[in-house]
Amino acid sequence: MVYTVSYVVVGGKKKYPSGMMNQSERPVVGEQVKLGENTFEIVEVKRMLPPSDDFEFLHVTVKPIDEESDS
Amino acid sequence: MDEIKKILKYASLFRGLNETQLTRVAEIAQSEQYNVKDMIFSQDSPGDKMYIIGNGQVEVRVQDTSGQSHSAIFLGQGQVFGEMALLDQGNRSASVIAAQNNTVVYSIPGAAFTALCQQDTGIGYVMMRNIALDLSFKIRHQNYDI
Repeated sequence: MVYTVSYVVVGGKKKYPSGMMNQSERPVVGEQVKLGENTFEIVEVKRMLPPSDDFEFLHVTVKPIDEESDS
Repeated sequence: MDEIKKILKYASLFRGLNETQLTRVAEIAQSEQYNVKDMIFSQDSPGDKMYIIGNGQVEVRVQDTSGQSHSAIFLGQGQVFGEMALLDQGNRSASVIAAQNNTVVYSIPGAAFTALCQQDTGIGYVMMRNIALDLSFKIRHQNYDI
């Protein structure tokens, strides 16, 4: 299975750009992902579209690691 | 050739193509390598290729009407960009730069792609369906990113 993943940062695109990528491992809450030079933590994973031809389409919400350590 | 086919299989844009069809697509794809900050194409330039990311990430940057450029999205392995210009013949709607060193993309020239889709309508049907689904996915992504 290939996971086509839409990454959106908490707070919207005005603060951090989002991301899209394909990956062989399903994203999991608590994991880290790097978009550009910034590292984020996954806070929510949900299916965006039904699976098709060995592809699964997911929407993932992430939060900045730095903001967590600042708080 | 095997490396290109491996990436094509990893990109949802090419799902549903059989081995022979994937080979035909791979035959018209060319590998390009970029380092961080390298420009792949600039906004408003003519679009004559689409790209599949084989390794690394790219940054899509959009310049607004005031001339300010801002980062819109990062795209990683298996993602496709530049396909809109192949469909509508318009200029590039954004600039794309490499976000990591050793970013590898596979470019597919528009003229060769169109010719292939016309020669093999099976490829043409699957590709046009998949491009529509890919754009649908990107619109859904944007709807979440407000």
